[in-house]
Amino acid sequence: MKQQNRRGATSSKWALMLALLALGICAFALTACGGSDDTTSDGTTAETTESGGGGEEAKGEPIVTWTYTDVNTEGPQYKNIEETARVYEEWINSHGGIEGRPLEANFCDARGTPTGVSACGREAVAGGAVAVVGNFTFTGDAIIPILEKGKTAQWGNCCAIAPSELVSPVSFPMGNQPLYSVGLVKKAVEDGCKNINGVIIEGAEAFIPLMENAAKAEGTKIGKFVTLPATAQDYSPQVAEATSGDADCLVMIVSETPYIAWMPPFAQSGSEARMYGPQGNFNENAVKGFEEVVEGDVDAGMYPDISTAAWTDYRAALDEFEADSAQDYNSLGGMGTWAAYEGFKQVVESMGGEKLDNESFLKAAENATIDLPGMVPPEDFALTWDKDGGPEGYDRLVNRCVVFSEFKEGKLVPVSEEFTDVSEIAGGTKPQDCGPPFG
Amino acid sequence: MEEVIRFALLGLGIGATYALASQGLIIIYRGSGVLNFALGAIGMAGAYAWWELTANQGWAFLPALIAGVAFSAIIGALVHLLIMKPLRHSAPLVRVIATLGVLITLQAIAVLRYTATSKFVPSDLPTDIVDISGSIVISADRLILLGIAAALTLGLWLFYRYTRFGLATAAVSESERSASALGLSPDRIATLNWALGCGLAGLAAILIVPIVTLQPAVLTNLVLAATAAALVAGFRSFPIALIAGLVIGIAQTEVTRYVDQTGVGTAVPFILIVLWLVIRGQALPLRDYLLQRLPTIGTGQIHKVGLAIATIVGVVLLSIMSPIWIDALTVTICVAVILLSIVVLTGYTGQLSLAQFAFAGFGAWVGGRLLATTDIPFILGCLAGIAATVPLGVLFGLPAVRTRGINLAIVTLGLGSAVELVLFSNTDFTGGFGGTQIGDPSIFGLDINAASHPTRYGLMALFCLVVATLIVGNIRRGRTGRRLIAVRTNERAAAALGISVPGAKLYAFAVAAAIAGLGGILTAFRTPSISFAIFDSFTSITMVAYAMIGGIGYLFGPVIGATLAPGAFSERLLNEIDSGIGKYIPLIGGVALIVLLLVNQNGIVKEQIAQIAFLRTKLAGVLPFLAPKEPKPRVLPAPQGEGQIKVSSKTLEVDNLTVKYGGTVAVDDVSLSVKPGQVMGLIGPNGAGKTSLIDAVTGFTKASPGAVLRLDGEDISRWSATKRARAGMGRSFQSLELFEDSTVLENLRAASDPRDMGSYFRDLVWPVDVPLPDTVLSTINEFELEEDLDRLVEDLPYGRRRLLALARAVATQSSVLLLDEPAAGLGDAETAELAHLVRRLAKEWGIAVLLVEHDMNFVMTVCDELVVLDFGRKIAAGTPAEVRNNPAVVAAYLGEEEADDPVGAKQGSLPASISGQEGS
Repeated sequence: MKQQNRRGATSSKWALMLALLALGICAFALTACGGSDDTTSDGTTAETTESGGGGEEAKGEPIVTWTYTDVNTEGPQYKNIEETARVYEEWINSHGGIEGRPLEANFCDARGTPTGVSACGREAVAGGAVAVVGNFTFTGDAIIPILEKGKTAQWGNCCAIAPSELVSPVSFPMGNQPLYSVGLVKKAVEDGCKNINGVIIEGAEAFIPLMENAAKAEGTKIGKFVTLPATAQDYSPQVAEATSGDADCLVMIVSETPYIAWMPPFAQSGSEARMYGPQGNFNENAVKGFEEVVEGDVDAGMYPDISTAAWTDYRAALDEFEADSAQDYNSLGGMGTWAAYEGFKQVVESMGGEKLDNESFLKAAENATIDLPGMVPPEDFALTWDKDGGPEGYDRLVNRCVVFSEFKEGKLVPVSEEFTDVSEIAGGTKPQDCGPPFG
Repeated sequence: MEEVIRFALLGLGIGATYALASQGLIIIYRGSGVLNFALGAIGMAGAYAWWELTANQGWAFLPALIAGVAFSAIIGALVHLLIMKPLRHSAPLVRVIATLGVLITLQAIAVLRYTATSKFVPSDLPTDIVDISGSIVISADRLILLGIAAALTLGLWLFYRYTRFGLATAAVSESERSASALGLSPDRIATLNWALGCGLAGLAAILIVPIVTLQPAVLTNLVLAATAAALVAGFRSFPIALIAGLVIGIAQTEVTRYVDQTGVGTAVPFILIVLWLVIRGQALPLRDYLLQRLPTIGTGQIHKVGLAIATIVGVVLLSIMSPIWIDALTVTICVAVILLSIVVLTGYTGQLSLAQFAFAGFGAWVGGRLLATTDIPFILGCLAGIAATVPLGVLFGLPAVRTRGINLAIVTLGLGSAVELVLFSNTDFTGGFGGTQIGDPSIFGLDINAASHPTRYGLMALFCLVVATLIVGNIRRGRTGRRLIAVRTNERAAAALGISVPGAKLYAFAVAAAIAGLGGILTAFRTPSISFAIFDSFTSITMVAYAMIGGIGYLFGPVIGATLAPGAFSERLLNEIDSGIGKYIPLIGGVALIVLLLVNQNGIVKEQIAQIAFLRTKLAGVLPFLAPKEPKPRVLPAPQGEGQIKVSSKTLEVDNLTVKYGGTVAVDDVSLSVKPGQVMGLIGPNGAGKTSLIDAVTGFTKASPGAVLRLDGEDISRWSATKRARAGMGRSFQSLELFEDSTVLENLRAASDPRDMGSYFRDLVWPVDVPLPDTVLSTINEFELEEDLDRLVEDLPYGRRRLLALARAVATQSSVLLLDEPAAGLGDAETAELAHLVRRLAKEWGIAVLLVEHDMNFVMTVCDELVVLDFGRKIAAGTPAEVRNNPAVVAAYLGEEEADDPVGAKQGSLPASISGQEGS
């Protein structure tokens, strides 16, 4: 009897395990059905690449770069950065490479953790990266010390969000983060807003002083700041508070996910307040279903709209190399990574055939000038903001020019064909040359 | 005022979502006793199914809604049948962690299939604005949601109150065994409740996604807040949960509106949880508190050679590996230190804390801010951070004095979340835009920056892990460990031995906080710019899961468990095998967690210990030095003063003692006095109030006003149970209440150990065992327990356990001993031994003994005097001879009619047992 029981227990245990196994298989099957292929661009080890698109053949030892961002994470994901790095690699290699050499653009998924981003840094340094190019994570502080130690540049990223990314000598941001917030205030004042309220996502409170200073410099002040809980929820109370006091404009530092949750209660509130939000977050996806509500609302950022002439190659490359269509490329991540690689190419070309490795690139980057009309303003890395009288903590910013778009029938269209300098109201320094109009 | 009302109305929307989620939690808890952290994730699965059907398959709202709800219900039923049912006899901790495994698995599937990005879902409910008055408006969908929540509440209330299924659920929630005896199937009821609760979660999720957007993590977070509402409702009342949910929603909205401080509004539910449980909790569990089985614990013995080898291997690996592997190893070590804190708090002390990552973050925050803002040396900054977590640990431990089990878990989760939301997420406190920059850490001038010198940093972390492990081992082996384990196993028994239960809990919280603080510092200081965002409350839950997998009661468990943490050894290994596997790691982790819990709830280390022992035995033939060592025979010294043992003589006086449970009077104005050397028997029929009297005298039950208890003339009426025990009042329990997973010797030592505060500190570095007192040695001899000393109590036969219970009570060297049915279940020979010992205790050692016993032979043989209770009243007192023939006593035992009827009063039954003549 006892034995029987034991056998019964064993068989039920096996049955349980089999059921769990079946469940696991179902789980994998479920996940396999959805989503797109996880195509990564690492491992391009071929020494030569066939030319395509009418360019010359890229020859010789590949130029190794690393691009990292968060993809497989439960937080914000930037698959568009990964895709853009892959597409750029294929596009440039099909157009003769960089200085005739093929590009090997490796990708590393930082998975939304400091540990993950550190591992990416280690991989890049150990993998002989000339530079890490066009990255973004919220935890850049975890990689900068590793890159400093490895004498490797972090080149061209859109959004230097971690403090060390704004001061480290190995950091070369091409975007203007966090100055677009200043641009938003400037634009709101220029548009005649009388009662401006601020809306800040939890954790981004550090933008508040910059925005307050900008408002002060523009001769006004922001009525109140409302903080949005980082986890999307019913934002009706926050909408009510933000739109109270006859607010006619809301300057918002909010990321895409909370924007999606913000829109329904905002629309329901019937508020006429015009919203000013950041590029890549206050975007067409975030306002889907509320196109009428956001008509004329403004978006400030770093890069002109993807429809403009400067991005012709990017648009073509996305098409030609079948970029994941589910991603948003008219964004800081997409355009920022493309611009970063184009800037990287210019630096390498400026080295005139000098031996290319991480150290030589770092040295060249220190005095590099980037000329990518229509993508970014002229950037001179010899003249970082700290050398130009800028405020402490924002040393590495060389791009202080903001570009505006607005919503027309749910689509973002450029407001003007010029970059707008915010050096003065952001840091009390003389204006930067933002370059000629683009179109 | 209009503004207040306006925002209160706006809070109704959030409140309704909390209420809906809390109803699901309550249903599942009532049906199966499980706090289901996966409820939000199961609801999310239903919402995604609904979305797929409506958005991609073109289904209409209602059929898709039914399908989505059914999908959630099926998942719920499967979770119960495949996971919870096999775990039904496991500790609540295990079951909670299993729901965490389900949560991780479902969330990972959702992220893989749909990505983590939010999806806007248009509302199928009307969204017009309803103008109530002036600026007071509310949108129609919120009102409808509120109506649905109210209607569901009413429906559930009626359903569970008036249907057969509802009544059966109530019966099962009260007592599964009794319900089974009535022909109910607890499993079927639990399955249906899981399906119903999860189906409800699916319904709630589908209704609220147009408001909160469709995203894998959003609904999970909602459950954490909804727990507050369920808790206020006692996981029982649907109407109270509705009201609580709405109040929380309104409070959150009002606080957000009027308190200009980041995170405070979001923290409202968590703060409410803490306040509620602290107010409603109890200092000691009641007699009917279920003693849940906990995962096993190790001995705390450290194999010195093994530790040395492991340390050397660690040093070598950290010295020769590539930086990327060093990082992975360092992360493992840092997490292992945090997990060690869980071993102390949850493993040894039984306090389920879900705030360990908050302690870790707090240590890093204090240390980091000091280093960032002052010129304090690195080591001092770290020490300050560790020291600062101690008071925080004590603060978090205060609720543990009045709450326990799952309630404590929720309290600590609430406190941890509050710290995260108010402190870590607020840039005002974390250095503003510049963050917290600690520069290059150095020790005695040696740069240990993890980026530039990963080996040095790894070695420092390894050193800290080894030291922390030694400290935790010392705690386990010392008298501190025995106190903690006593509290873990049985708080009532611990208090009866004079162990300060609050003191032990607070100590465990303090030490665990300090260790977690150290782990947090090691984790955070790996980068010169500290990110406090990593110390989120949800990770505290996964930390407990890692500790469980490794072995929550074992010193080496944390190292095994830590390998599973993000960025640690396992992830690196998987990445090396195949870089594409990275995105499946959360899914693998969730499934692995569930499987490991099903297979082995005591952790991998316990299994490894058994396997190593097996291997050593097998290999001993070839390699003799591997043969397991035979345990040395334990030789106890003879009692020094055998025949001259005396305890401090004290008299117990009880005057006008009344005990009431609600309207029921259990003890009614009883007075008695027990003198040194006297054995007084307390007898009476079942329900006479005997145990209640002992509980009241020893401080385990509150006496009604007017009672006066004196010990040697000193009024002890207001003293705690612990203080009474320390003053010399020992007791045994009817249900033994031994420390089952400790050895016999540990039980006796726990009783006889000095109750000094100093050992709490000395044991950290040097645990010392004092020699066993003569009373204990003599009792061991008397009961012939010597051969059983190293056996676990749970392995002893019942009779031996009874004797051990008495021996443990004697080991406290009490002046007054209250014994509750010590002879129940003993054989004749053992009863005789017991009688002999009880007489010796009184006559030779001078102990005053108050004895409750049903065995009248025993009573009549042993007692000098008897007190008889009936319906709580004292109906007779005197010598056994006087009581034997007291008509009132006979009537009490037989009932009035039988006592008057000489035929009914059969000599061979009760009268004989009263007279003590049966069998004599």
